[in-house]
Amino acid sequence: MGDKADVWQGTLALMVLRTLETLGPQHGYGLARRIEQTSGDALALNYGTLYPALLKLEQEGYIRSRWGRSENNRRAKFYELTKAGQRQLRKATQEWNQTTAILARFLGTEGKG
Amino acid sequence: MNRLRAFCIRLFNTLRGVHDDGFADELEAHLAMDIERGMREGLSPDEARRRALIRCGGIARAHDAYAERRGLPGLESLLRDLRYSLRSLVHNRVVAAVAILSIGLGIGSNTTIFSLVSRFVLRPAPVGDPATLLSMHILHDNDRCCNPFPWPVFSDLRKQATVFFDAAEMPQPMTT
Repeated sequence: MGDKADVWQGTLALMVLRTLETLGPQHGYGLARRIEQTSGDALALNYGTLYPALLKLEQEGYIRSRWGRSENNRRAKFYELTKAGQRQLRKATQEWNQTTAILARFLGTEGKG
Repeated sequence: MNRLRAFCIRLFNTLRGVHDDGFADELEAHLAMDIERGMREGLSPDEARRRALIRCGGIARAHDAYAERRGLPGLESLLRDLRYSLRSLVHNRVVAAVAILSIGLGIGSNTTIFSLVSRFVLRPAPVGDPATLLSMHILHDNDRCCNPFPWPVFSDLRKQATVFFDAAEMPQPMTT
């Protein structure tokens, strides 16, 4: 566990929104698995990180939740993106792209003098 | 806007004292699914459970972190302190009465003293421009200071002397 990176709260929200957009309604376990897989198992999501982030997104109205049945017929809480969530996803993606592009310019010129 | 929405929900949860909104069930389902996956990968149930528990990073910690986000922890502890102090006050009625009485007396005497100081020291005298205030007396020959004006003189002065803005009679200071 120790070699895996912790996730920053801000980026986790974006990952969750993006994953929900891709997968559609999904329960916490599915989200965690998918995020870990997408990161190439470089990220480890423990409950104490994932669920408060989901709750925050739900309180902010970006996602909503309802109880349903998982593929194994287990009772689970499913999360899905709201309209506000889709807008937030677009906005956050744009901001993130901008930030990384700026940073890439700095890091790219490193050593070129 | 979204932050405000989140804040209102958290405030509501704190005031209403929401402590269980099915999070325990949600965690249990998550853990069970993780264990199932381990068993599908060929682990023994015990081993699958052990690994799932390691991965989850502590159920109690998750509950704490979730509770912190559910409500407003600062306000929650404030309310808890308030409830505790009210309970102790009810429990020790005599102490409470003495405390309330002394606080009341303290506030009362402070207010009285302050209103006196404010009226006579801090605020200028209610005479228009206090710098132009004059005190007038009559001095007879070989008389001690200071004799007040007889009423008719004062009355005439007030009516006729145009150099004064106004005039007022003052009781004579006690002199012995």
